[in-house]
Amino acid sequence: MSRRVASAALGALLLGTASLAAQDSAATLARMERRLDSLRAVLAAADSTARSRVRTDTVIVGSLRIATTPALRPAVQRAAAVAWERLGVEFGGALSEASLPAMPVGSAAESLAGNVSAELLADALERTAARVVWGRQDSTLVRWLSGYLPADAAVADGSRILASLVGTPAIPNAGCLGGAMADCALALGLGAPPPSVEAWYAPAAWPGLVERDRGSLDSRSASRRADCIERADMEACRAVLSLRPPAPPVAPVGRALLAQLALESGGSGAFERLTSDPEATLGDRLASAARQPLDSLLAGWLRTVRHAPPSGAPAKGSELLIVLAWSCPALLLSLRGSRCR
Amino acid sequence: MFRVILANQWRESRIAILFLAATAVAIPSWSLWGTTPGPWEAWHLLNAAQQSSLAYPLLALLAALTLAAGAWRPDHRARHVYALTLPVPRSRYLLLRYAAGLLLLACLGMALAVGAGAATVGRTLPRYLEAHPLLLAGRFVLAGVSAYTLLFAVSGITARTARLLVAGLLLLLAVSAAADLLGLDWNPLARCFEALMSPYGPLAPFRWTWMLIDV
Repeated sequence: MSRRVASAALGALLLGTASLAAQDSAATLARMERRLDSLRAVLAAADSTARSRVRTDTVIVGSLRIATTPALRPAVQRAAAVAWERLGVEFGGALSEASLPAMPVGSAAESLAGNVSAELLADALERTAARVVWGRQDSTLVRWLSGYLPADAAVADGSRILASLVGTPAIPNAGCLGGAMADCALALGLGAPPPSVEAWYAPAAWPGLVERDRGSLDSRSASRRADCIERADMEACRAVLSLRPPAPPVAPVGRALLAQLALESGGSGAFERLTSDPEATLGDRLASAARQPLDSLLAGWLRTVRHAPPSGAPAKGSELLIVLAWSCPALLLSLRGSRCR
Repeated sequence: MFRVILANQWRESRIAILFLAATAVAIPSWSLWGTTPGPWEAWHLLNAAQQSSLAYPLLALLAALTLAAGAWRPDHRARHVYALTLPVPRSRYLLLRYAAGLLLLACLGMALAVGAGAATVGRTLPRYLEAHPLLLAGRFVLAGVSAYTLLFAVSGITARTARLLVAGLLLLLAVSAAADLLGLDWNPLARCFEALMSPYGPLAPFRWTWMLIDV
């Protein structure tokens, strides 16, 4: 019951008591008092329920500030502690200077209290805070990451990064797969300034590149797009491709993986080293963060991508064992039992 | 006796099996249809393999369903009279029925291997891409065996066991609902589903990678 409904009920009751007062009946007055007490109790309960469902509490752990409901507070407190610890590992000292906006968790429309998983909540808080921190870095780094966070690479399917490297007919991709680290750096867009379409793709690949770009175009550009795809008109292709940055030779999550590897191998202070000099090239910044030459970092990246098992793939040789382990007991169960049904 | 049971099972489900075999032969070629040589060939091939990768586990599941249902249909229809008249233990009779289904499943796997082989043999693949027709067919058979065995076991249960199974499921639903209402951070139904689909669960083969052409 909302507070408004309860107040209306109280008002109606008081109006009713005015007419009844004239009767001067002690019994009636006593009965009405009991009803009034009962309605007051309902009003108090409604107030208490409403209070527990709005974000009146703030959980503060480090720089994390989370506005939440009283019911969710214990779960949020635990999750925030976990998230803060993980953020500390990822960003180190840089995090203590960052002022993070208050994050809302829970609302009047939700009753998450019992169902919320502290682990999922910690992941969400960590991700939200990490997105804020990364989003505040210099535009070169933010643009290069293309909206991905290095942490995304940890859950990404490495075989899909390899598939993009193999499947995209970019000039540096074949060399990168062959072990030329300069080509890997070019494919990952580590040079300065960012590579042009000519540096990444041979003209023969342009019509396909234009065909894959589904962005909206004005009528003139749409006509050029058609000329590029249908008649392989290179000038039309160049005009269309100049409108937007070309698709990178490697899936953007591959860049996030490189940043993640640099942060991991750099250890303490890696994030500060990566972000301290926005004027340096991305390659130098990543090498500095990783505390190793760029070629070594790229070689590690290529190794990781090449040997990443596809998601859902079982360990080698275990496929038959898994199937046998489940099929034999199921078959034995179906074979036992009486002959008559 | 095995031949009689195999013939019996074949008669029961031959139309469905022939349809599944034709589908298994056709899907690989159909999925790679229209991928022409050129700068984007590798991209097209990977995309085509990715898009058709859903079809193979689905086909394995359909094959398992068809064969499990076909294995029990004659017995259910004749109220197990034929099985009861045979001078063999029930377990041996069932094993023969199960083996007949497995043989037909292997034939379907072979049809898929032939189809996948025909679609990839003779095709020059771009560098770093590999065709996996035998791996695909092997996974088809393994996934089929896993699902077929479970469905065979479920199809053959007695009425009493079926009631127990349904009761167990209802209990699981009730406990899950109660856990939700009590606000526990634990849902047995979700846990069961996760266990079934986990990398070592009985339905794990359906989560494997089913790419005919991959890096």
